[in-house]
Amino acid sequence: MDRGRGSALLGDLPRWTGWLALSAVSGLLAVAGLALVIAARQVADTRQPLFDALTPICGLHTLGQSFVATAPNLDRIDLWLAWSPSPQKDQTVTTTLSPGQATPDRRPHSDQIGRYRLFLPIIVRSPDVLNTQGCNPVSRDGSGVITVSLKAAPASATAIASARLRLDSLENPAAALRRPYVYQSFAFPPIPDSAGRTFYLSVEAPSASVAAPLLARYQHGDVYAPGTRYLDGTPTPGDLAFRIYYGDAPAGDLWLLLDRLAGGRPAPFNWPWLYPLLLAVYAGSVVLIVRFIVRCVGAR
Amino acid sequence: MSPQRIGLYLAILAFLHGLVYLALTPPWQAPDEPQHFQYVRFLLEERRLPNSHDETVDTPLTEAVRQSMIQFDFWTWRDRSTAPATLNYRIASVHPPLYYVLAAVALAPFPSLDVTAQLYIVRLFSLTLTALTVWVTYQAMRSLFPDSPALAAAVPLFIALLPMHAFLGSSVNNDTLAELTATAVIWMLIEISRRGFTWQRGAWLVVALAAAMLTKRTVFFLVPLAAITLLIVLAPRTRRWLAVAGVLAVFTWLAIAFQYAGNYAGSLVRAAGSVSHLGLSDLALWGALLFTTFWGNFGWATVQLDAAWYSLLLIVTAISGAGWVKLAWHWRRCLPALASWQRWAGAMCALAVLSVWAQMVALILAGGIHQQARYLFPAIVPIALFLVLGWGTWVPGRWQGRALGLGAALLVIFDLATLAIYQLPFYYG
Repeated sequence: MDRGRGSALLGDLPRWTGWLALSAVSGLLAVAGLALVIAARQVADTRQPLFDALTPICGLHTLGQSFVATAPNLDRIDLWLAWSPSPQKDQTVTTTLSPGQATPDRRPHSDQIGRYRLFLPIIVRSPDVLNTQGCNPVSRDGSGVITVSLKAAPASATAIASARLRLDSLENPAAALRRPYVYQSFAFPPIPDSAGRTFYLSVEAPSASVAAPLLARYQHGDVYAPGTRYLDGTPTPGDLAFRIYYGDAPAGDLWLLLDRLAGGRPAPFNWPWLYPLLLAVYAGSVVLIVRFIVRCVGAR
Repeated sequence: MSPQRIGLYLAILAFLHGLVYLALTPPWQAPDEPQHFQYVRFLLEERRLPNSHDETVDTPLTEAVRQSMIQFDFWTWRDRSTAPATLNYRIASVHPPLYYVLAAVALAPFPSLDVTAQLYIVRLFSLTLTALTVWVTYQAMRSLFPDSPALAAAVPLFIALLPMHAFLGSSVNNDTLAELTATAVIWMLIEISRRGFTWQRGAWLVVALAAAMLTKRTVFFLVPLAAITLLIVLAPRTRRWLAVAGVLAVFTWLAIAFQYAGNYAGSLVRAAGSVSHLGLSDLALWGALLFTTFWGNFGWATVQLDAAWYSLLLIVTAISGAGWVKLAWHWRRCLPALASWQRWAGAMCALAVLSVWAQMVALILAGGIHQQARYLFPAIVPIALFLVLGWGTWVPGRWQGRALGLGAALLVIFDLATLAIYQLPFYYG
């Protein structure tokens, strides 16, 4: 058989067409794989990604955030929470205040001092004062739970949905070698009529103590106009850092991603399809070029 | 099959890989892009080199850059903050000018584009340099291993597919030209070790070295490296080691003086103070920063992977290290397999790795700056060479081709995983 020709099964097609097909399939597989992972992880429609402060809570104190859902089927909320069983001398200032009296303290947070700044991006934040009223002073038990509830209003007694996590599953800011600023996900059954509704998100951690409070990252300025932050049910300046997800069809998430990729970019990077195309061409080329090199190496 | 075509295809692969990162990385989200870009635009507008005073002046350019950074939420992803009233990333006037002059020439035909579009033009220029680096790497490895085409291809293939290399190589940064010129110097030194010194090779070496010195201070290790290699090749055998020791001493001193000119004594005091306060945890954290920024710590070192990935990469790196232990154990059998010039060239590569490390440690101690692995990338060729050689010791000769394919596939899968799980969700999720 002619070396430049394919098998009898493929008729008289030149062999390079087979490699081209393999390259195209590899490119498509790479794009499809990436799309599957992204669709499974979802893309947040509503985001408040800023933070410059940490708020600590313990005992029966609560924090909250109101927000407006922008799509139906709300099914997940991501928050930036942290908890450490180790003493956090530089992290929180303990005092007894009445609810709503907490004010930012401009002392540096532990991420900014000493060894932590070697590994982590330096992010300016300040700890708030901790309201210790009614809190266990010393417990460092990480088996307690955090409950995140969705309600219609801060005063509502009934929760529309709720989800729980263990305290010790949160990011530990005292660990030097860690991936910092990891969101914690709270998933619910989808709320079909969520679009356009205002929700109140409540966070409780009754077993968090004065020595090891629950920490939540937030922006002290009002950066999320449709909602506000709450402490013990009272509106407080600032907004928690959060992301809201909706159980859309996976295609919806991918469209949103492509829109964000192309948004505001100069031509040709403003064309959303450029991104999957580039990825497919790259993955396909890897197969072709590596195959070529392996054959060359084998031949010599 | 022409070996030249392998080099060309590897360069194309590096270009396509970088193009993916160029497109996916939001504007300004690669280390120091605003500062480097302003240098390029400054040269185009003012037709002179910037000085420290220019760093303090607000101009229409700084405001245009700030507005573009606001448009693409720069401060949100950089440090989760809001934009400042004036730009806090100023022109990088301390750097030598060659990269910026060449980038300005590339940008000159596009004066009417806005700063964001111009940023992409300069990113493309950087990417071209990165693709050239991969081509030069292949030439250097062909020269070092004329009888081992698998090894000659494996090193540039590793560099072309390394995610952090593609990310940094497609950004506006003088590291790209520093790496290209340093790789060219190493290629010339291998050529001189193999074929002897000629005036043509000497001239190319001087050109590459001069270009490197005009690009970035992180390539200063090349000067003692080139001097020692030339002495070994040219000096009479009896004087070699004396000459090597003398050159090392002089250039160590010069290196420190060059890096910290103007505050030499203060730097030494700071370095000594740093050493006296060093703890194991500090060393571990420096090592962690270097390790993660070599394999995958994207953005302004803000897009980190989970610890499980780094643990896996540590095992992969340790397998290469174990390969070197195996090689050292069997050195009596391995060394005679190499020609005398290959041993010298290999020693030169080892010295390149050691000296770039020493230079970085000096920067950390005296400058108090915690360094990322991109400052090691001028020596990416010897670093990649030693990694690949270590892995190669575990692969039987007849499986080298398949191992090359498998290694490439694993790197691509790792790359796609970092994009899908970390990079895209960080900026766009």
